[in-house]
Formats: sequence, C-alpha cells, structure tokens
Amino acid sequence: MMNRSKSADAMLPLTPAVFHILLALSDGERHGYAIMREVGAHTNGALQLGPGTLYGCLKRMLAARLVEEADERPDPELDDERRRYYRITDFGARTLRAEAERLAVAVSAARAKRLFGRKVGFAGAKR
Amino acid sequence: MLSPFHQRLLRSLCRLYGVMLRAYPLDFRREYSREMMLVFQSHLRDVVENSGGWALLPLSLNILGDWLVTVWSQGDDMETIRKALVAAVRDICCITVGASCFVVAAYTLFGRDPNTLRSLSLRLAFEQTPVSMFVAQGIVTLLAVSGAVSAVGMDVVAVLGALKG
Repeated sequence: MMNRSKSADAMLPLTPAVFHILLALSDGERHGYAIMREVGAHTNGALQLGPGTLYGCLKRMLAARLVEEADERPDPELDDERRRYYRITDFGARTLRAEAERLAVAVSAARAKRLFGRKVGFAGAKR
Repeated sequence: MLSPFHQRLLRSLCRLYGVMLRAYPLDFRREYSREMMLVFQSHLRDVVENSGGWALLPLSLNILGDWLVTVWSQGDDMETIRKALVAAVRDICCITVGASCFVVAAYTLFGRDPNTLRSLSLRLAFEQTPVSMFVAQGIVTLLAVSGAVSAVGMDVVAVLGALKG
C-alpha cells in the first residue's frame, strides 16, 4: 500500500467495466472476445460488455497505459491472426490492486454493518 | 455446426452491424471496427451454437443498447452531434412556424373561403373592416416570410460556421 504510486490512486475509482477488463487480463494476454467472455464469467453474466463498450474502454485504457497491445501471439496456429491481443501493464496491475483494496474496504464496512445475509432495511424507515 | 438458415441469419446480422459501425467516429472506426466485427461474429456464433436462434433476440437488444450508448459517448464528435441536434430542433421550429403562417396567409389570400381568417381568433382582436383584414393578412404574411427567412438564414450561418470551424 505504501509503495503504490500516486498516479494509480488518481485513477480510482475505476468503472466496473474497466475493473473487470483489468481483472480478465491479470492472468494473461487475451483478445477482445476472450476478455468479453471472461468478464461475463467473473460476474455470472451480470456484466455483459458489448463490442462498443469493450473497445471504448480499451481505447481509454491504452491511452492511460493501463493495458498495451501484445506483440507476440500466444499461439498463432490456433487463433485468427486478425485478432489483437492485449495485456495488462505494471501500472494497470498497480491500479487494479489499488481498486481491489478500495473495494475490499467497502465490503468490510458493509460486513461490519451486517448487510450480508439478511434483508436490508433503513433505521429511520417506517415499517 | 450451424444450419444454413442460421448461417444466413448470422451473415445478415453481421452486414447490419457493419452498417451500424459506420455511426462511430472515423478514427475509432479505423482502429477498432474490424475487431468489433470479429467479436460480434464470434459472440453470435457462440450464442446460436449454445442456446439456439431465439437467444439472438436478447443479444441483439443488448448489442443495440450498447451501440446507442457508445455511439453517443464515443470520441470528440459528441459536442458536434449535440450542436447539430440543437440546430436541427431550432430549424424545425422555425420552419414549422413559417410554414404554418404561410399556409394560413395563402389560404386567406387565395383560398376559396374568404371568411377563413374571420373564423380564427383574430376575429376577437380586429373589427372586420377591409382595413383590419388587410392588416391582419399582412401580419400573417410577414410572419410567414420572416419564419422562412430566419430558418434559411440560420442554416446558412450554421453551414458557414461549420466550414470555418
């Protein structure tokens, strides 16, 4: 936490789409459709990225140097050579970690208020 | 393996998506449209193979929503689109007012029923003398001409502004 650069913190909070794209790329290079499937799997289908959202985010993430295009293809024999692969940068990884920590703090706060596993009601609400 | 019907359907949807991609800004399209098409094709194929043709319906709606949102928000052209929309609404208002006035003026001046103007609310404001009728028709005609001139004038200004910009 201490050695995190200021610029990673400056990127926070990330949008859900950017967070999940970084998460999908955190364990290896992927092309666009693989990212889309990975995000769908991570979120149990709750976040379905369309091509416009996916490439709009990737464009911004490339500009912010959170991700970069991979020069080498994981397996050119097995894949369509027209696809571009993306990988997370060091800065992207730091930003992802910072966002995950931020979300973990929020989840801890919610857990402390016992919001999980019961119906949520407001203290001042009429019953 | 897809049936011939599903293959034709996917080809048609891909052609349609290719047309939809043209709505994105040029630089974005140059950079990503080919990949977006690949993603779209792969997604459609997977959905049909795993869930059947009917699953294309919710997917198509999802893609359409994604397209609407991202076309609007993508690139630096957003401000240009907003300005164009404002100009279009303004022009439509001017042309509607101008055309309405023109129709009323033409009908009262040349229509079969010379009492048309008398039946309008102007009847309450004017005494029905030849002079008052002439003045009323003059006002209506003036409004029609000014509406049309202002609409055309604003279009010319908008075009000149766009050329200058």
